[in-house]
Amino acid sequence: MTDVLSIEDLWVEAGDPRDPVTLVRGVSLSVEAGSVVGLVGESGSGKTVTCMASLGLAGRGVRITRGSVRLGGTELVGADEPTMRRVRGGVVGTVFQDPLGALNPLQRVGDQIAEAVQLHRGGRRRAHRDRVVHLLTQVGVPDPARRARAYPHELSGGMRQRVAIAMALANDPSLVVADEPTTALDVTVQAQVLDVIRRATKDDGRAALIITHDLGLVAEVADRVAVMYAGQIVEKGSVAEVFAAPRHPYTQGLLASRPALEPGRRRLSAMGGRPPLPGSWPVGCAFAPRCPVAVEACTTPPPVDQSDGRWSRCWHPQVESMEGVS
Amino acid sequence: MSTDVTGVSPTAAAAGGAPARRRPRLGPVATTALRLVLTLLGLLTLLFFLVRLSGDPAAVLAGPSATSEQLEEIRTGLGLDEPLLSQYVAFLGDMLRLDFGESVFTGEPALDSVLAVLPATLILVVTTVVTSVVVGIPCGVLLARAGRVARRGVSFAMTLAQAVPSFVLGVGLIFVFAVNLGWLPAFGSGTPATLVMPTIALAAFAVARTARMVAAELEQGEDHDYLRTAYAKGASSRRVLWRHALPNALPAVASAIVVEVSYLLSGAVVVEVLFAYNGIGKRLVDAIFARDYPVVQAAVFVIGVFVIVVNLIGDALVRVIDPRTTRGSA
Amino acid sequence: MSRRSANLSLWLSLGTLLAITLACFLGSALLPDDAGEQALSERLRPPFWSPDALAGSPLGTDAFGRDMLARTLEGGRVSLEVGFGAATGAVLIGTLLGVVAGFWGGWLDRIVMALADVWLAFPFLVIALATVAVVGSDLPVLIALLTLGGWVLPTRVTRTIAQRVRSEDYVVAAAGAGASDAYLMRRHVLPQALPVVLVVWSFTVGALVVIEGALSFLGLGVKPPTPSWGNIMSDGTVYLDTAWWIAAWPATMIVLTVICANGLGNGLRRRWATPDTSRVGEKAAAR
Repeated sequence: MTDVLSIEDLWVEAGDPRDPVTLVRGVSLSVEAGSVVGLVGESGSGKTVTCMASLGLAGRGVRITRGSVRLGGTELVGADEPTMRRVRGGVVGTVFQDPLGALNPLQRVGDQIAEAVQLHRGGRRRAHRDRVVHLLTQVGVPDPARRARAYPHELSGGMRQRVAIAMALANDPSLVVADEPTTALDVTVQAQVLDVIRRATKDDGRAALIITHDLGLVAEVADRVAVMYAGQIVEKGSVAEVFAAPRHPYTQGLLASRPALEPGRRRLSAMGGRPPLPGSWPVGCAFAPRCPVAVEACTTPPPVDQSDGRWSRCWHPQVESMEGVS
Repeated sequence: MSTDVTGVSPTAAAAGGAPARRRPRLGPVATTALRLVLTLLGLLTLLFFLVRLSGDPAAVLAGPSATSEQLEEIRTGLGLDEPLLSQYVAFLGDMLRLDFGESVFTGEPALDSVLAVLPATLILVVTTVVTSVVVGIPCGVLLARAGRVARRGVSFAMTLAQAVPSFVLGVGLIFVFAVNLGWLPAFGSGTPATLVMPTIALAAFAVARTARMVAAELEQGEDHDYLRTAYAKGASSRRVLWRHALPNALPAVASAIVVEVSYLLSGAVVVEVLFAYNGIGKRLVDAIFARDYPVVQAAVFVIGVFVIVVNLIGDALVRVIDPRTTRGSA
Repeated sequence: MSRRSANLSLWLSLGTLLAITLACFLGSALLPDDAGEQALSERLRPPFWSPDALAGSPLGTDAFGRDMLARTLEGGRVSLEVGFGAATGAVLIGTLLGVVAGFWGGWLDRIVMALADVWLAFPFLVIALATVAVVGSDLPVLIALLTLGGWVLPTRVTRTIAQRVRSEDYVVAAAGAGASDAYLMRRHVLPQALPVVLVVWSFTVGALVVIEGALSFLGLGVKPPTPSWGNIMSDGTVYLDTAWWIAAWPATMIVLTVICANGLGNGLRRRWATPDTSRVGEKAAAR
């Protein structure tokens, strides 16, 4: 299958150019057409920066220093503004974490969705009214014609996020990027919004990249998963394989600290320590200080292990095989 | 929240509503108005007692050369021979009827003589506010978004504009444009040309304040997610600025300008006198010099009402601009 | 603004303000006694760069032949006396009101805050003019009046601090242990309010120097023959076409003083950057 999004060896840094802080180091990640990829990691791991920098949305002072981001055949690194504008909202729809903050408080939500349509299809905003109603219906907003006239503060969190999703879908993009789309919502609404996201992506055959720290969400909607730690991907693969048999100790830790849904299996082992902050990453394996199975070799950068069609960045399989030899 | 299907969150409904209190609460507009009316009353009361208590107003009014019959005549004429309290009650009654007495000099009703020059001051205030918005907003955008050099330059200009009092700037303008270049009339009122320098003198400060306010709002708003959303929709940075960032800065700027108007009126008094611009400020100062107390009282009253009206209009304006203040608070 | 240039502007402002103050208070004493005397034969002599300049009067002379250097310094002494005096008074009263209102809350707080709102809404110069019209404008009256012109800002900021400190655990604990309110205010609130109060003080000096200038410029503040920057400017306005320097010197001094006072306030605010000081903001540089 063809890749909708293909990120190759992406390096991102921020801050003073003379004394930069590296945020992302050498991330490679691809999203196939029609597949949903979950990008998992703790805050500060660089998962959001990876996606936002790829789309040129990371904000001032955040720079891509190396690598390539190809979206449906268009190279985005170094692309000019008109190209980026065509891509943003046209080829990629983006959903952000906090739906209240993500909507302009002074504009009716219908107008905001219409603006997304108008920016790519031209015409007047009013001409896109039917499209707006259609989109709102699609994301399960009841009484869409009336809701379109509401201001963001008049809607509940769930409704706002549906509006944000409708806005991302405005121009039928081939890829949806969603940054923690359910985190800011009440628990009871999370499932509903997740359902909307699943319908808009998986069920419609639309590719998606979902950034989250919630492994449960990944298990529910994603086909593939990539785990980030300290600016690097430490493990990636199909959700089935990674969840069944995680290779990287960090992934193992994440999965173990997840409260199991089945009763009786309440094994909740929290990982000790906290992830290191950008700028203070250890030289070797960044996870080594927290790793229960760290060995001497972990003070040097670990190689990528691609045995058995899997992908993980850890010394361990090699170390063990070396130990087996000696 | 479980009410999600209704689409209206309880917090959103409560956000704009009045907090629970024992007493029924007036709307914010009414509260503002009531407060200002009370101030106005307080101010006039103060004025009343100051005049009555600081010696003999009749003697002040009549001047040093007055005979004792003249003094007596003025006293009875003004009701000064009555007890203070009944004078005060009569004074309040007069105020309710908008009767401030007659100008001691022209004999014309004091309120009329003040209202006659109100339009001139109104025009000056309007041109100043318009200037402060039309010049202040672009300057604010430059302050927040321009390159280093331009930003430094604008910032320096704004610092200067904030530090130069209107009368100093006014004198400078007269020196350059009237005395040396002869482009503009130094004095007078009634023609558009006479408005130029007073407006600049008054507006400089307001421009700087507006610019700083806009810049601060833009910088603060830079991290707002809705701006990133707009970029994510494919909007250009120009569109994001003018359609999303600036409109969101406006409610704060509008409120600031309303507050500004009271400073503006202070400045207008000085500027009107300096440019011999025939407005309320000049009328007030002339009346003070002439000890024409009825006109002083009327001028203070009219300025007070003016401030109240501006505050009410400003509140209404902010409500129009920002839907969060009206809708959804029912 | 970078940290270094922020510091530079702080020290520059402080230094210039001190220089102006010293020059005005000491300079007017150091100059010869007859410096401010009238000399009608030497009317309207230009400053030192002109060939017509009068020796000993580097800044020129005014319409009565008085030395402009002496007049400007002496006028500055009066203006600064009023400005510093009133700003100090305003900050003292404001701090007292703000701390008490914020600490005790309740009806006192509501009244003080309502008064503050209303006070700001009404053009102060109009109130000042109306008062001066009746009670005159001797220096003590002017200082008292301008004190009233500046009380709101210190009241508001210290109130916020008092409210915050009041609810902090260690204060609640101390109160529970029997510490008196007066002790708590003195021991815990005032020290925390001090930096902010100093910031507010400098902004207030600038604002009040301007108001004094405006009143005197209108002829309703400091009365001639006592000079002040405002009334010297007023004299000079008449001679803009022939002797512009009469107005120029006091104008320069007013602007310089205000810039430095604002610069000092901003500099201190950045130096002691706390949530309290950042809120004071440009709000203070009001006129």
